[in-house]
Amino acid sequence: MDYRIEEEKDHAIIYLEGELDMSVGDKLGEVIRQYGERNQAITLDFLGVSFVDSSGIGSLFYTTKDLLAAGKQIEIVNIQEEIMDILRILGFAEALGVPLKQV
Amino acid sequence: MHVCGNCPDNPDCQTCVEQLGVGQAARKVLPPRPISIVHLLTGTKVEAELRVVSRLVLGVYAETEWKPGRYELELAADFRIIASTVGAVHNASYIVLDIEQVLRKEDMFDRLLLDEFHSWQLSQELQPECLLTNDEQSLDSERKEMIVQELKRLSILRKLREVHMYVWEHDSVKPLGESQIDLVAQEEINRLARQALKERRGKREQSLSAARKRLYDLHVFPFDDNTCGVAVIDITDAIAMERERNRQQWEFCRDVVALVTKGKLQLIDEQGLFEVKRQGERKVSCKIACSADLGVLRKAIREQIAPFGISGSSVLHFTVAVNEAATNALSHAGGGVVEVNLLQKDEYCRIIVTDHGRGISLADLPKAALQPGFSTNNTLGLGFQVMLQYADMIWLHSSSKGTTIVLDYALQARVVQKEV
Repeated sequence: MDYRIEEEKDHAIIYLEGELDMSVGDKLGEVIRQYGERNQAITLDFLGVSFVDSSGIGSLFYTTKDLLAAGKQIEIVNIQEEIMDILRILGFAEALGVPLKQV
Repeated sequence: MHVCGNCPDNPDCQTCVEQLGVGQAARKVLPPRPISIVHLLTGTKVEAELRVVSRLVLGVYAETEWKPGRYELELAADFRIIASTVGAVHNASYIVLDIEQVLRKEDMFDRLLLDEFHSWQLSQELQPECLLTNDEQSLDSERKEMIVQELKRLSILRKLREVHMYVWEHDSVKPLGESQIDLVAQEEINRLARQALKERRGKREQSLSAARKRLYDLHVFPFDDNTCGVAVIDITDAIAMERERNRQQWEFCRDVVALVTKGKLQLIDEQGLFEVKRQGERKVSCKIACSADLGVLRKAIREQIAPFGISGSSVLHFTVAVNEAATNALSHAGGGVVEVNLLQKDEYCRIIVTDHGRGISLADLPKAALQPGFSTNNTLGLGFQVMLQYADMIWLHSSSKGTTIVLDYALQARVVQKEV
């Protein structure tokens, strides 16, 4: 997994790239936490994500929940259709309660 | 110090108690208890009598030249007291010792626990030899009650046909009562008894009688006189019942899981697994030992099934299913092996994920299949939801030796365009 970040006016956009599996570990969660703490709004751009599984988005899920509880705004955008399907089966969207936007 | 002429026959005499100088806190030991006492500096061993106990001091009597210093009192193999003389010792047969340490079983105290001493003393007096030498008169009601209790316990034990008791002495085992079973485990009992005496604690082991196909639970307890008590419990039937119970529980679990997943997830036993595994042609095998291996596995699966002309999203989704099974193996068992097979002239792809972990407990299985998604915080369930969605059929075999997950994926039914 790779990522690129743009920060502007209290808003961070995190562009994710590649495969989100077990090898991502806590890395993704740490990046989101770091930028989430110093910005009010976070956008996770999934356009470059070609694979997700339950352990790959585990840390993303729990960190996002924490940031939402702290009053931050988070959205996930540009999700490929087949990736969206996996997130739906994982119950990701309902459990998280953030807008998921398809490409 | 003196010992007066009344002792030990007059239970009301308090002379020796008073000499401890701790008032009401001291208790007379009636009848006096024979003990071994060793002078730690010289190693001299004396047979003495324990006559008075309190939490902090003891009164000990022996016809000997007492020396000042520290003594070790052996009440029993697992009951020792380190104590030292108080002040000068003059030609007296009765001395008072300060308790330094009480070693009881595996614990160590700096004072004597009187209640424990009392119950220990009572139990010691119920030793068969002591009972026989005690005249009837000296048995008070408390002791009689204990004897009655012990005899009742024995009569219950005697009725249990699975329990056989023996006394071990110098590598020979004598049955208590009629000998009920042939002692196939004699060698093991000898070994256990020697260990028990050496370590001064009970030993337990299971032993299989090869000839009669019975399973025994052997218990060996050391006694103070270098013999051992042996209990041999025949647990063959108990184990068989346990197995039957487990089997029923497993079948119930299998039915529930099949019902909930509309037959898509099947629990199978070892034989069923063998049937599932023997079909098909092995295409590739991947070892999963770290998370980087998962990427290699996904690539291998894509390479196997993509050429059939299946849509990219379907290939991705089946890859996610296999990946979840492999991730489970990695996180619960530290790794495993994934085999890719093709069946029925490439009609099906069958993936077999095997690990050698501790297995999924029967109690967790329905939960894994029933509870969907992140909301339930059920990480095992997450993987199964994905597998159930994207594979056409799943077989699961799990035991204490490991878990095998088999995923079937129909190839020909998914072909959207034939290769040119």
